[in-house]
Amino acid sequence: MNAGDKITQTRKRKTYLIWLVAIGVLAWVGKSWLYPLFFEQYTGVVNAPLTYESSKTLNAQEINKTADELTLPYRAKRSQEMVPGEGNTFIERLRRERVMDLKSVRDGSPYPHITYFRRAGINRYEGPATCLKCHASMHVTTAKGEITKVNTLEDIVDTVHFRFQKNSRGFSTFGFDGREVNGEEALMNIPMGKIDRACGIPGSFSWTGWAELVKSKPEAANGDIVIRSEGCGQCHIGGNYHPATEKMMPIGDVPETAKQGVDCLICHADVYDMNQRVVKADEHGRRWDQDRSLRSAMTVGKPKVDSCLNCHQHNLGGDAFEGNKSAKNLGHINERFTHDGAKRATPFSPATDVHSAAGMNCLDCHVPEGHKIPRGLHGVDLVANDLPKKPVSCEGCHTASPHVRDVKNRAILNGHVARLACETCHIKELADYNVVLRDWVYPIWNKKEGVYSYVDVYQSGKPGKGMTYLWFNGNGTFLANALGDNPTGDSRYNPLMNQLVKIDDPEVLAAIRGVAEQLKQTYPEINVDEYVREAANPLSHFTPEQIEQRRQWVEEKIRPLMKKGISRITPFKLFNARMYEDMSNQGLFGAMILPFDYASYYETGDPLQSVKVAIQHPIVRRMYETPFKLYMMDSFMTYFGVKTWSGEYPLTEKGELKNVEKHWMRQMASLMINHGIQRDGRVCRDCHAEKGVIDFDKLGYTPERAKELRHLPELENVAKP
Amino acid sequence: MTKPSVTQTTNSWPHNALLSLVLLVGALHPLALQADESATNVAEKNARCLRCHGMETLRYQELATGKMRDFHVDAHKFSQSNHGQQGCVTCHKGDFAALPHRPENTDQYHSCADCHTGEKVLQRMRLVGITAQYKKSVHVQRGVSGFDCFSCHNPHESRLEEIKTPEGNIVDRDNDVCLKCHGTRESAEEKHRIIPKAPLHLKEVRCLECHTPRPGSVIHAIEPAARAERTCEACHSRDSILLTKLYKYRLHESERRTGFINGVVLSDFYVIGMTRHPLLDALGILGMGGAFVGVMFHGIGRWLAARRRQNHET
Repeated sequence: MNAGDKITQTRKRKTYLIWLVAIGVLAWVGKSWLYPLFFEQYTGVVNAPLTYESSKTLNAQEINKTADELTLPYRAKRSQEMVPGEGNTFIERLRRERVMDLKSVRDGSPYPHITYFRRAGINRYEGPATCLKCHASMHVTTAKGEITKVNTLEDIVDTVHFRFQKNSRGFSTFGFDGREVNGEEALMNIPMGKIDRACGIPGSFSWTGWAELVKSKPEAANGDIVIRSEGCGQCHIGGNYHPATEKMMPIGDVPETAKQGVDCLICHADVYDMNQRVVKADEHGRRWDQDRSLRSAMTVGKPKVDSCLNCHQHNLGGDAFEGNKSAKNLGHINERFTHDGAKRATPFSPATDVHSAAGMNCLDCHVPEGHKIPRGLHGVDLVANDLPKKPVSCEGCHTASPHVRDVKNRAILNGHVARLACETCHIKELADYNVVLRDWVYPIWNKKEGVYSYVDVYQSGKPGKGMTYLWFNGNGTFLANALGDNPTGDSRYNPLMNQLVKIDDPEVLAAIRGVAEQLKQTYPEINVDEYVREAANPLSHFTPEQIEQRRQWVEEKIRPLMKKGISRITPFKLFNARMYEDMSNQGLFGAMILPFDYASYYETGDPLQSVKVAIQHPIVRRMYETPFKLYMMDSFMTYFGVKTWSGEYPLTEKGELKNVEKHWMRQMASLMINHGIQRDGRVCRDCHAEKGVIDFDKLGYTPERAKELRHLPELENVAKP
Repeated sequence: MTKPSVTQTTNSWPHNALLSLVLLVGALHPLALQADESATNVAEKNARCLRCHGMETLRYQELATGKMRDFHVDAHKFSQSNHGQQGCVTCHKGDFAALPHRPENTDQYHSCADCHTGEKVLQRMRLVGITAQYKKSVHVQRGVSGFDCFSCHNPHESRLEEIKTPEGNIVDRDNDVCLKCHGTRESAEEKHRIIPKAPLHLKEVRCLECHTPRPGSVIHAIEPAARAERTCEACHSRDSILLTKLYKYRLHESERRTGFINGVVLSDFYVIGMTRHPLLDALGILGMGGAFVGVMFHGIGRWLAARRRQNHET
């Protein structure tokens, strides 16, 4: 090898190196600068630095005063204990005041962060930035007892509470095509969760209904306009202009500004002002405000029951539940709407739940790992799960043989555990404002709130009406139908062809008819008989061939899923909604539902106009374009039981809706109910009777066996408890 | 609830052979009063009991002691068991009309020797010997309260082992019987740390192999822990005690069917140190020796070649 060759080689090497560095720099610039810019441009989501009015600096005096106020209940209690009553009220008062000021009493008071803040010189709460000054990292204990150190902010930003979806495995949900959502057979994992699943209860998506301001004309305001807040963002911990949309993509992350929107205090502060949770509009867009006062921050600690219930009482008890504290603090301005019909109607409160009465904390059962909180192994509703392998179950505490005290019946009660879920007996019924049928298509004027509102055609918490009993193996379909099968039966049990597509209870039918007749006064075009038929039989517009196809599909694709695992009779809340559907993406189990824009729906009462507004949201437009189709919509539709995503945008250039029809979903959804547990469960004759709460025929028992179960010969000999 | 069914049978021939054996035993039985009753009749009568007792979770934890009382009878296993043709009330005497049944009725049941009488039966079942062994066992000697045959043998499921039942299954099942009272598998492993590879031993052999006197055939005379077998060679030798215990039945059967030599040669169990065939031993040694000699010659050859090359270069 001569010298010239050597020089050429070195030059070549140099050139390679320069190229490599250049590509590296380009990739970094692209990922950190260009991609986010492109992403925001493409999806129309907005990110901007977040400011909060309640985040104010307090001077030393104000801090002392706030601290005194916050610790007062504790110090007063302590002084009562230390100074017994003497009969002389003046001396007593004097002594107690002195005791309340004692150093040891002050030191013993709760809220240690008051002292920490003083020492660290913190006089203003600025969101995560303040918390992370000390809690930049944290130790997480896994179920196996291993302790790992994690970055606190990344830990929380990665949870379902922040991102509202997961694109990994861990859903107990199966598509109508027979495949597990993001399971082994999935060609590609797609982001699934509250962020993008279809639901008729809220009537909108998390993008089209994130943070909305509605002009209402309530009766009490005598025709004046009152601005109100509405939207999915009210319960979510990211205080941004949109849900964590960036997390849905395979690359990229939410920007730092969005991470600073995390509302640490709504979970960690003992004293949190829900009145601050209202929509605010600024030059960048609309978002949900937070309580970022130093007063609130001074009370931080581990989450308490009320912390979780700030948001979750909404779906457990509902806004109509008397004990819902959030529903009593709707906002100082821009008050939030409350909703009448409840999602589950199983309030978690001492009066309505035995575990609440026992003073238990939510996290006693939902044992977290860092900020990840488990929701159990079972689920039907396509909500993502941070810890899909971690059980949250009755058996965890109560064992598989929970009946101990009732000496006479304990054996036979435990015998039922093999076939019944605990909730079957220990949730006797739901609150009566449990919404079963919600019609979005014929809004009516709500005088009190001063807006047009959807109609809850039927509400009930009674078994057989608002709730039902189904075989359940822990899994659900893509549209929230419990999967399971009668272990002794043939193919007799078939909820997707029977009880979830037919309402035959005469009382319920009469109630639907009553509502239809009332609606007819506002909407003369309504045909009452047709209205009842459609609500009671969501397959009524199917041809006999389609019904037969559906029956075969269930046997072929769904039956194997129903037969998986161990099924037990489990109670479910029933729900169906009528919305507008994009019929270009239709299958035997439903079509793509179209979201409503809350402001135009509430203000004008024109649902079609409201749909038009909503689907013009940039991200909905993008959903109908090729990149989104390939990235997730095609997979989404296969789970839905539809071959591919048509990609046909349902709005013409003239602004007319195209191929859009109003329909009830093709089967009622069945939602798991697990709270509102009562100590005294049902007794034998509640079910084993001629008109028992469980319909054994519908559960797939043979007529002979069903009859036998209704008239158990043993029942004559059973001892009274 | 599963409907008990006696018509459910598998098609494997050993199974059928066994069933015939069971039926034969039933026919010879002194208490074969039900022999004239058809199997369906018995099943129908039992079905009444199994309506509740067929529930897999029919059990409760005693308030005072926390002890689990299980009342479940697996209808399928029962129908396949040696007692499968018996009516429930053949053994359980009393008035079961009241629910829950009154304790004075539920405490009345027959023990093995109440039914298995008569010299021929006793001899065939070796009940005399077993009773003698049992009386020597630590459970009886120490007067464990409430201990009887049924503490270990579930009369609703017990059956003569199928010839083809793998030892692994027998080991698991038998050890589970001990572990019902003696802690868990984990705690058993902890207690047996004296044995190398304790988990493997607990998986592959029964507690009984070491906790009963040697030699064999006395597996009902369970001894206290202090007297357990502690010498490795007891099993890991030509005269392994396993041949008189775990492998005894298998060995007898294969001898009967294929003759002594074949039975021994074709047996598929393997215990280190217990190789049963001298020819295999010899072949093994020959193989090892041959390999050693081969390596030696090869090495020497290479060494010589290297030396010659060196000489050549210099």
